[in-house]
Amino acid sequence: MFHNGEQFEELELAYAGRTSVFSGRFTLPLVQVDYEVLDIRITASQAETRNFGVGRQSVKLVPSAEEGA
Amino acid sequence: MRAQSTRVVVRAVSCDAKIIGSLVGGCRISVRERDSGEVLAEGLQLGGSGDTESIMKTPRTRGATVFDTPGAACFEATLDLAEPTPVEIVAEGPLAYPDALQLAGKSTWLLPGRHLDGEGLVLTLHGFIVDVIIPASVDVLGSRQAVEIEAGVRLL
Repeated sequence: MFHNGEQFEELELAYAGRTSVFSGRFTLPLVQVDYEVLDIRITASQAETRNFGVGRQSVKLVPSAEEGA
Repeated sequence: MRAQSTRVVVRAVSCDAKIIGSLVGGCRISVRERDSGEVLAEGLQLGGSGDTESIMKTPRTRGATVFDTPGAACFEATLDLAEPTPVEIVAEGPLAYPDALQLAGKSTWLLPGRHLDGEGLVLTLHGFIVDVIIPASVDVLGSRQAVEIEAGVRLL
């Protein structure tokens, strides 16, 4: 997990109980201004079959009311 | 030497899984003359992902048909060849998932009138499609918020 280009979190996703779906939880850092960006990068690997993959997503962040004031 | 029609079948498959079919956007296939780089044929591999029983469950024996079943995706072209031609055949896909796009290629000789069909020339692409399901790209998240993350992971 990257916030404004800086990594702040790394976690291992666990099987979510549905076929091929994995999940986890994390807490966002302090957001100071509108339009800060959360970049999510998820890697998947299965060494025994030589299969590797990456998924990416970017999400807009906003401060809470008091932090943005 | 007189030119003769020569059929070429190419099949891009996922490593440890089935054929890369229309469900994931298919694959782009190109057949080039190896020395000059001239494109002899190109197009899309579209269709079904093949027969699960023959691809995933039946132990493979020499000469067995694994991929060439009804509806199974492949790319097929007919070339007019006047002489033995060295070619390079490349597959790129799955086209619906840019982050998962992979490439595989092989070189071979094509001989006039000697069809490369049936199972075809099989190209194996390695990789996973990783979809971030939650959060969605249109979501807006707040400072210090606890966030649920969910991803779908499947072979190409």
